[in-house]
Order: sequence, then structure tokens, then C-alpha cells
Amino acid sequence: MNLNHPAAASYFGLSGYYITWMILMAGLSVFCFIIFKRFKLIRIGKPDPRYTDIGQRVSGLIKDGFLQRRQPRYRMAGILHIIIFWGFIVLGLHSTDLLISGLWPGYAFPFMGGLFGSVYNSVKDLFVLIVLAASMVAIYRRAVIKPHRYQDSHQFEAYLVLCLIIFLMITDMFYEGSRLILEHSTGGFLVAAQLSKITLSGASHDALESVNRFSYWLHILTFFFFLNLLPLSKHFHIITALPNVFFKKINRGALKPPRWGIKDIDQLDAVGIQTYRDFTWKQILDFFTCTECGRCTDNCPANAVDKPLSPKTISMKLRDFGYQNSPLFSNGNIENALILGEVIQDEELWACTTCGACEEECPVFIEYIDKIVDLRRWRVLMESKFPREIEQAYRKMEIYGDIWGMGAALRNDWAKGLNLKTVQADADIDVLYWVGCAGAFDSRSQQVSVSFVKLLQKAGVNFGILGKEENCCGDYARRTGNEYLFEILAKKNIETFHKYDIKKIVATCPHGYNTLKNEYSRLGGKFEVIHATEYIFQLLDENKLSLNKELNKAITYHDPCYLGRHNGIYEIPRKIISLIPGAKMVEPEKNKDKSFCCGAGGGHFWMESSGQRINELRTDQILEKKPEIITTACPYCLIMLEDGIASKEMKGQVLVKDIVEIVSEMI
Amino acid sequence: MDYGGVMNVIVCVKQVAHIYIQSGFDPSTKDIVTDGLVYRVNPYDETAVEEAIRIKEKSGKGEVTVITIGPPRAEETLRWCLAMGADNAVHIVKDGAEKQDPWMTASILADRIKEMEYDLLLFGKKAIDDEMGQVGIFVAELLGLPAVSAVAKLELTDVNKALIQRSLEKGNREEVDCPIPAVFTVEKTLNRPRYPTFPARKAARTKPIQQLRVTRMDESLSDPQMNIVRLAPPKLRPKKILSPDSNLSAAARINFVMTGGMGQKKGGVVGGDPKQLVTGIIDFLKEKKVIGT
Ligand code: SF4
Ligand code: SF4
Repeated sequence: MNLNHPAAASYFGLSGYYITWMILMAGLSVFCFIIFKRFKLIRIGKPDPRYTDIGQRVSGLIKDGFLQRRQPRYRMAGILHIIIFWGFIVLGLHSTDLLISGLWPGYAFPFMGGLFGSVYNSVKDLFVLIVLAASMVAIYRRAVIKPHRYQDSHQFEAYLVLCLIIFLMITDMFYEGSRLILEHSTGGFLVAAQLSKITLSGASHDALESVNRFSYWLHILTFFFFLNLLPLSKHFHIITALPNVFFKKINRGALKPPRWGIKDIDQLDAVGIQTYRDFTWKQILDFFTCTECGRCTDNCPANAVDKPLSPKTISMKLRDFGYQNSPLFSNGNIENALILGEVIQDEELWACTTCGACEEECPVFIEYIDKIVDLRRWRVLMESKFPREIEQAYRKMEIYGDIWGMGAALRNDWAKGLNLKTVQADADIDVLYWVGCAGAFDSRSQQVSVSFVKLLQKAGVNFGILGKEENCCGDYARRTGNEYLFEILAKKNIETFHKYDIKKIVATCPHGYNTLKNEYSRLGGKFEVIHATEYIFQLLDENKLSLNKELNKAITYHDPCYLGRHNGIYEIPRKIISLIPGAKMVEPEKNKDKSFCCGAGGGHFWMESSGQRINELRTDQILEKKPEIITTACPYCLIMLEDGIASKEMKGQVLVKDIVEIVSEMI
Repeated sequence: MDYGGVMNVIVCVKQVAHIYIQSGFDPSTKDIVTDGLVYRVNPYDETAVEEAIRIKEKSGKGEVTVITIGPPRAEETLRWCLAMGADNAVHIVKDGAEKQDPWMTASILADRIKEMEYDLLLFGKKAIDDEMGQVGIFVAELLGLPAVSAVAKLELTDVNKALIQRSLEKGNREEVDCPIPAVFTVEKTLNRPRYPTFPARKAARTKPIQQLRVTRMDESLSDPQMNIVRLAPPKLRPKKILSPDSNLSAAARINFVMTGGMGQKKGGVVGGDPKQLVTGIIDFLKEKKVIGT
């Protein structure tokens, strides 16, 4: 016996089909209206070309969007989320089917009848139970376990949405269960429906019919309520996450130019972000998409040492601010509403080390560094308001060509007696060694430069250095927001590279490496750039170098942010260590893409800090595994970790070395 | 503060070669070797420019004019001053070969300045290359104006008077009254020069600079009063960068490097109401492990 569809009945003299139509129309128009408003907010953003590399984007969408690759980085929460995500996809179809069946008498999805239909129905019914359970566990986690990272998130919204999901599942169960009883159907594999059948058994026919109708309408109403709640809450990510993943940043190492589509900064009158209008559309989409999961903040080194920076809070504040200033029912004044100093404070801006941990962790690929640097740009370039130490550094870079303020005349002193070729004397070289300011002027890093030179000489490489014509690469200027100075420095270097017809550059400093490789091309630089570790590995591979001596020590490796997260070089340094006879590799708990910043990036090497220091925290993390030698591949990490060891008064017990040094000692 | 009238300020600036100590002395020119030199605005002059701009900004009226004498590359110095906020720039172009002592420089400057309108003439106390500190005072002499040197605090009390603190030795200060127009040569401690914004630097690149030429034939170029026998480079301070004390933090280490090997006393200032002051001091003592936490 077939049951009448709930919509086939009439309510207060009105046909159920009309009611479905009314709910549909009302629900959809409100939804479209809100989305339109949100879309308008995105439209005030500046352009950002994110339509290239479609293949990579599609595969990212599949892996990071549909397969939720980043979710299990937090195991429990990740699994729950994957379940709920897939539940949504499966059950969304079901809810739509239910809705459509109430629009016309006898209408149903055509493919729901056959084999697909019955398989689908069993699967979706299973999902009803799984999602129900997952949501309850999620509530339990929030309410009882209270993970620290949810602090300050919109908790009410989270509970509301979880309850709505549970409600949708329950109405579905009762709708299906009552239907099965009324139809005298066994129901097969519909587990959830079977379960509700048990609770409903013994009820009268009329009561069952009411349950059936009631749960149908409640389901549909909740469905629309839920749909409209999305763009009003942090659950907008249900709609925006997949697009956001699709439009993710492809070249992580390069900072965003001051404006997309310009060749040089002089084309602009204003640089940076001051009001909402200065964001790009993608940056605004980021705000909509933040799920408030707090994974970013949980991994932020500045936050870990109690600096007033929490990336999650930045997204939340900017989203809430955006919504407040573009209200649904009036026009608002979002375009001119000030952000700097109002929504985002200077202390937040300057605390970021641009380590990229937040971006690496975010399951929906929200970007922070570009935004933070854009805000710094406004402060530095438009208002000249920034920490004092930075100003000293800017002046030194511009006048002397290096932050140390030593000048070109001293730049070559480290190389005295090494018998090095400079390009001025002989430009016929296969590869140019980019020494970098630290490598040239800092006494500790000079040792690394010397080691690298010895190693290249041993391998018989025909290389040279720029000598006095090498200039600061501009990483510091760029990441602290001084794009103008960066362009001056970069253009000077590019000119020098082209003057000597340099084709290939190898750098020991990951900051120089990243800047030359990823940021000079926009300004016309045409050359290949590789990092010293890559080059050493290649030389080892070609048997031009071999590691002969033994090193029976426990060695650990600290991933520099600009080599690892920003450029994806994780394995090569580890492979080099594994080639050292006798070396025993121990990994700190936070390694590879989870590595914890040494505290020097984003200009912090040159800034005063108070309170707990990031480098000391990182040193503690590394020392947990009791290494005898800590290796890294960055001059700044080297100094920071050495300082960390010194502050633990463990100097001499634990050595801090650049991989380059280790290799040069082992050959 | 209202100065009552228009304040036109002229600032004389010099482009100096920095870390000349590295490049050595050339006996043939009796001067420092110019190869590989680094040029910048003399920091004392930069302070003078900053002061002039502040005076203008406060009074809301008047103009700041910067003048320099130097080879074509000295234009960069004027552009920097324009970016800081100077209104006009005059470049007295001089060929590098012609050696010039402070008296000659002063007479060229005085010759131009006497044809201009001004209420105040500012100079840096000295240039960090030759450290002579004479030009400003000579200009005052040539123009018949009062002069005050080593100005550490400057207050324009009414239309034609300035209240000044001069810095003396050992941190002492002398307070003087001076009628204006006058010549003041300023200390670096007078203010902290601004870092020009991007729009200002961009605009400064295309602002007009008035160019004048001096030749030996120029009447204003009087005879040198000084005869240089020999220039000796000072001893190189940080010969090699010393390895800073390993117990220093990175920041302290950098300070160490930046000050040329001398550790700087680190200190902080706590501010706020008495309660904040007290917590500030306690936090400091805890951080330094003087008292327990
Ligand atoms: S880049 Fe690093 S320091 Fe900056 S907000 Fe992200 S995690 Fe924090
Ligand atoms: S930015 Fe990403 S990681 Fe951070 S709270 Fe939002 S969704 Fe989570």
C-alpha cells in the first residue's frame, strides 16, 4: 500500500503542494538576497587573478576540498569533519529529493527508482546515523573537552548548527520510519528508519500519519532555516570553502604584489590596506570562509609566546566588521571604514614572523601573510608609522646596501684568502654563489659561507660571487611592508645579474633564495635559483662529492620556514643527513610542514622582543629529542637556535650547525 | 603654537661620503678615495631639515628651501629632503675636482642666500665626513646675522625671537635668547627625522630643482683660508665583526653589530599611571630574574 505524500494533504484548506512552493520561494528568495549582499561585499575588493593553473586547482579541489586532505592533521576533529562533510553531500541530495517530491503530485527524482535509488537510500540512511553520532561527539568535544583552539570562536553558532544537523537527521528518521510502518514495508537496509520504526511501533495509524507529516514539514523548514543561516554565520564556509580551496594561492613563496596587474609600484598612488576597499576579492572571500576552527592560531609561534596575534581572530574580526558595515537592510559605509588601528591593531601586525604555519594548517586555505604585509605596507609607505628598529634597518639597506650597515667596501672581507672568483674579474662561470648579507657580514654565518666555498671548490665547480656588487636582496624590506625600498634593491640586483649574464644562482640563505627565485621574476629577473642543499645533493648524486667520514651522533634538523613551507624543500636536507655515515636522525615533534618558526622571519631578527622568545621555545621543542647536533639550513635559524642553546646554558653540549658545514666537514 | 607670521626657513645640507674610513686617503688629491663610497645626507643636516619642516607645519605658513653645493650626485640628497617635505631645492653644482674649504663654501652660500627671503637659516652642527662644523658660522658672519651653534632645543617664542637650549659638554645645557633672522646649527638630538612616505618620495623625484653653477671665475668664490696638508683616516673601529657574546639575544647581538662592537646598554622605559608603573617594574625584575615569580 502506498502512503499519500504529506504534501498531498491539505492544511487549513490549503494544498500541501502550495505550501511547499511557498516555503521554497520564501527560503530561496531570502537566501538569494543574503548571498547577493555578500557578493556585493566581495565585489568591492580589488582584482586578483586566480584563474591560471586550472589543472593544479582542480586537483587541489579534489584532494583538499572533496577528500579533505588537511582535516586529519587534527585526528579526532578531522575525522568528525570528514564524516559530516560527506554526510552533507549524501544527505543534501536526499533533502532536495524530499523537497522536490512535495512540489508536484507523484514527482520524484527519476533515478531514485532503480538500483541506484535503493543503494543510495541504504547509504544515506547509514549516513543519517553516522552524522547523528558525529554531531553528538562534536557537541561533547566542544562542551566537555573544550579544545583550547575554540576559545573566542562563536560558540553559540557552532552549537546551533550542530543541533540543526541533529534535528535534520531526527526528522528524517521519523519521516522514513513512519512511512515504512504506514506502507507496511520491511524497509530493507534502511538502518536509521528501522531504528525509528522501533520507537514508533504500536502507535495508531492517525498518530503515525501526523508524525509522518510533521517530520516532513519540520525537515523542509529546518532545511531552509539552515540554508539561510549559512551566509549569516561562520558556517558560510559550507558554501564558500570549496571555491576558496579552488582559488588558493599557488606560488606560496612570493608575496602578493602591491596591486595585481601593475609592473612597478610607481603606477600606484596608494599602497597597502587601510580600508575594506583595499582588500582583494579573494581576501574578502577568505573572511567569509573562516570556520573559526583555530588551527591557525594553535600553530602560530607569535601566539604561542603570548604576543597579541591570533590569525583566527584577525579573520573573525574582519568578517564581523565587514558584515556590520554592510548590513543586510541598508547600505552601510564599508568602503571607507577604517581597519588599521580600529579593527586590527599595530601590535598584531608587527608580531607576525611570516612563518606560514597558519596557512599550512588552515583546512580551507585562508591566507594571512599577504594581508598582514598589505596592512604593514600602508603603515610604512603611506603613514611612515612603524617600529623604530625597522626604520634604522631601512636606512641602512638603502644607504649601505645591507642591514648591517657595513657597506660594499667590507662585503668581501669574509672571502679573503679563499681565492674566489668575482664576476668583475671573470664572468665566465657556471653558477653564481649568492652569499647574502648574513653570509657576508655575520661572523657565525661567514663560517657557513666559507664552508660552502670550500665544498664547491672541492667538487670542482666553476663558480663566482658578485662581490662588492651584491646588494641586500630586499626580503626584509618586502616582508616588513616597504615595497618601495624592495623594488629599489631588487632592480639593482637584477640589473647586476643581467649585466654579468648570470643564468644560475645558488644561495645558502633561504630568504635570499626565496626572494630571488619567487619574487624577482615579476620585476624582470630571468635566472634559475637553487638552494645550497639542493645543489649539494646534486653534487653528491653526481659523485662530485662524497661523504667519507663518520659522524656517530644524534642529529636533528630544523626546517627553516622559507625553505620548507614556502618552498616545499623538506626531503633533500634529510636525505643529505641520511647519507652521512653513522648519523642518527632524530626528528623534533614539530617537523617538516609543521615546523615551528625560529622567530627571526618577517623582519623579526631585527626587532626587539619582550616576554618569552620564540627561539627559546623552539629550542626546548628540539631538545626534547636529545640531539647532539642541531642542523638547519638558514643563517637566521642558525643564530636564533644558537642563542636558544646559549640561553639554556648548554653551549658546547649541543652543537648548532648549518647542513653546509656538516657536509664540508664530512668530505 | 602660532608664530604670528610667515616662517621661511632655509636649510643648507651636505651630501657626505660615509664609511670613507674604508677607502683610504689619496695623496694626489689630498682627499679620501672616492671609489666604492657610500653617500648619504649628513645626519645633522637631516635633523635641521626636519626641524624646518616642523616649524613650517606648526605655523602653517612659509616655505622650506634646501640648498646644497656639490657634484651632480648631490641631487639625491636634495630629493631626499624634498621627500621629507621641503618645498624648494637649490643645487649649486660644483665639479668634483675643485677643492673648497669651509670659507669658500660659506661665501658661495652667503652670496646666494642674501638674495633670498628667509626668517631662519638652519645648518647641521657639523658634517660627519670632515667634522669641521664651520660653514654655518661663517655664513652668519658673511650675512651679518647672529648665530647659535649646537642647538638641542628650539622654540620660537614670538615673531622675531627664539628660545634655545645649546648642548655643552658633559650633558650640560645653556639657554639663550636669540632674535631672528639668525643662523642656528643643530644637534642630532634636536629631533628624530621622519622617514618619508612613498607618495612623498614619488613626488620628490619630479619636483623641480633650481640648478646654479660655480666656477673658479665666480666672483663670490673667495680664496681659500685653509690649507690641507694631509688627511689621515681614523682607525678602523670594527676591523672584523667581533663574534658577539653568545649569551646575548639575537636582538642584543644585532645592536652589538650595529654599534660597531660595543654592547649597548639595554633599557626600557615604563610609563602609565602609578599602578602600571609598579607592575612594569615588577615585570622587569621578574624577567631579569632579580625577584622570583
Ligand atoms: S605567518 Fe606565522 S606568525 Fe604570522 S600569523 Fe601565521 S602563524 Fe602567526
Ligand atoms: S583561518 Fe583557517 S585555520 Fe584559522 S580558524 Fe579560520 S578556518 Fe580555521
